Amino acid sequence: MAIDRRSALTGMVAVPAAMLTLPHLAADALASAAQPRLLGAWEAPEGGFGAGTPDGAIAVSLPDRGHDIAVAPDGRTAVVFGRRPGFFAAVIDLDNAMLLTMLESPQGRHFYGHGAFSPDGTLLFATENAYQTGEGRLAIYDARDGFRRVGDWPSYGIGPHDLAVSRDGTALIAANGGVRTHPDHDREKLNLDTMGPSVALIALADGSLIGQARPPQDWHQLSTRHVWVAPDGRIAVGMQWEGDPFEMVPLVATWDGRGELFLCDEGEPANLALKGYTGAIAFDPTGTIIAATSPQGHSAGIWRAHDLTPLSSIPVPEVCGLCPGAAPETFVMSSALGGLWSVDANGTQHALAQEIPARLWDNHLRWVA
Amino acid sequence: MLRRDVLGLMGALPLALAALPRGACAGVDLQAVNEDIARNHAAPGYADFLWVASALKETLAGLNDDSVSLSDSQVTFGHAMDSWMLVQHLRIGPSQLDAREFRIEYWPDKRNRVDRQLAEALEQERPELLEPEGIAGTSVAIQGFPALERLLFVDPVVPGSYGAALAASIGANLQAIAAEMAAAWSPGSAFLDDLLKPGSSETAYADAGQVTGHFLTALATQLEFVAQRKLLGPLGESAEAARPRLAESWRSRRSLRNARVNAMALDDFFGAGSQSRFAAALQEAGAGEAAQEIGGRILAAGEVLTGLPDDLYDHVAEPEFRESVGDAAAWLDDARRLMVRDGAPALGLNLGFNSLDGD
Repeated sequence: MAIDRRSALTGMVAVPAAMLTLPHLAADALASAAQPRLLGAWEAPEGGFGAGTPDGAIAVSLPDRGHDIAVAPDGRTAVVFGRRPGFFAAVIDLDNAMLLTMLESPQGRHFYGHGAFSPDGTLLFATENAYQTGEGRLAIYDARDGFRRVGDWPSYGIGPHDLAVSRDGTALIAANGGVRTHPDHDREKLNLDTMGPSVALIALADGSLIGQARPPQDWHQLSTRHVWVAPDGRIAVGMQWEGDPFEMVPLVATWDGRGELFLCDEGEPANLALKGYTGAIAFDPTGTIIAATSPQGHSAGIWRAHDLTPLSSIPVPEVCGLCPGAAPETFVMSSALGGLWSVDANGTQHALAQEIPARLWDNHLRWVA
Repeated sequence: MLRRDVLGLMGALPLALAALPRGACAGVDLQAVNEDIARNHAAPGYADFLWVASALKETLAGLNDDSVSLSDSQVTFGHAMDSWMLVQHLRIGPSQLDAREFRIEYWPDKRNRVDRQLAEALEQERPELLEPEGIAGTSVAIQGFPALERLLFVDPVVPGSYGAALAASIGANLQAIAAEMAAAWSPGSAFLDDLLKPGSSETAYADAGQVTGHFLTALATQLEFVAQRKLLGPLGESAEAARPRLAESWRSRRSLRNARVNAMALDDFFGAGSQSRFAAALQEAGAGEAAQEIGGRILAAGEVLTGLPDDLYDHVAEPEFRESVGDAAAWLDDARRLMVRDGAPALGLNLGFNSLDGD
């Protein structure tokens, strides 16, 4: 089902910037504005898509499935990207819990569901598919000028998915999944035999390539999809296997931005339980442990960051959303069946306050401070 | 009869079948299908595996203290493999927890991890691997059948040696895993509660169709696994290009026996002889023809395999043998294709986006 871009966007006009229904929730949100808040995209159990906070204080309707959210460094703006092939990006004013504007991908391009702000908050970058050529691009929007599109850079690979900013703030990190798709062919993968995924480090100053790492050649079908940056600058990479479904391959890696990817042990239970797929990856707040989630494996695994020793593996149906927890060595995870949990290094789960109303969480979670 | 012309499924992706909204196939009692599979297929299968794994544990303890012969140990190993082949396809619930499926049998093992890690274990003679927690916590590759196969068939262990003690420890480990799985499929377990009372638990299955979808995924996955991985992979494109060491259990010369038992298990799983399994549900849904076509192909594969020796390794270059193995694979692949194309939609189940189409 390809999204008809025109109807999606005209549909938006009719959809109010819905924070709506319960004004007292908005008041609570303002009162607690200093508290860190979680943001995620969801599908409502009764249908319809949106994004916002679990307590419903921020709840913006979306024309289709959302995916990841880029949060501005000042915590006042967030951009929800449409799931690939995504033709919209919803810019949300977090202070007032309302939709500011809806970005539309230009002709011949679509979003991949992820983006990131520059460290000074002036620019928004978004991963894009130039789908006639299959080339991955990083679209650039000026956040000071109504999110006007001001240019684009190469992502140095096919199928750029996740995008992050390096810890020192000088570079973008693009996960080029390597899989070519075209919106006319739905989400069909067009180049699995020849794919060459990579993680690219790209200078924020001019878009030039600083460094690039690839999975080993005999695992060239390991699609590097998601990245997360630790406080010490190390990069966690979550991968998806596009090759022989019965082959055991490592799905979690770290990268220091220079050398090769450091891969986890493919034969350990935490990795095997992911069933060839990671939907999200994150460091804990201290950067000492890494978690990866797999809705395919209904499983989440946790590794020690410095040597990728597996620490635990837990079954969680349809788990995907993932971000650092509030406390050291914890994570927050969400499920597409509904539910939010805090999870520690041993895999112990504690349900977080029941979200209002119930939501079926999409792939990613982000904190806004 | 050759059915290879209708196939085009090399390199097919694993399936995930997800339920459409409730009521998508009104009139078919999927809850009954789930209950029948759980009670009359899975539970007896795992009970048998526990029984045989217990015998294997005792036998290997006996091999270690020289009260049981090597050849008797090899026979018991074979019984245990047979029993595992009867439940190998149930990639749902208990076998998916704690990597049990891989701890029981780390295969396919393209990188020969079992050889490397077993050699290391024998070299280092680590005492903790002889303890239950030690073996259960060590590398997945040396916890189960493939390591045991090497210890019994390749370079057979000598009673009283570290290798014999390790074999006994692996036997005990397999028994412990089998006991956990049998318990999980026993009446009143938390897992069965989740499975058979869909919608009542906040974290498990939303409805009966979702459970049936998981079973159907397991069926389709195993049809592909046996056809592609166990049969066509080792066969290769030609006798010259055959790769018999890609076969499962080639060291104990029982690769085709495994596939034959798998086919029998899939026949029972599909339920041609049952009142309330996939076959009956398809009848009920008005897709009796599809039920016959699918069941007939699984049965045909089993019949072809029954006419062949247990071993693939020493026969892989024989033209007639190659043709028959290819036929068996074609029947299984074809059954899978029909299950996906006709069977799943008739039951209101469809190819799920989730696992085919991640992000």
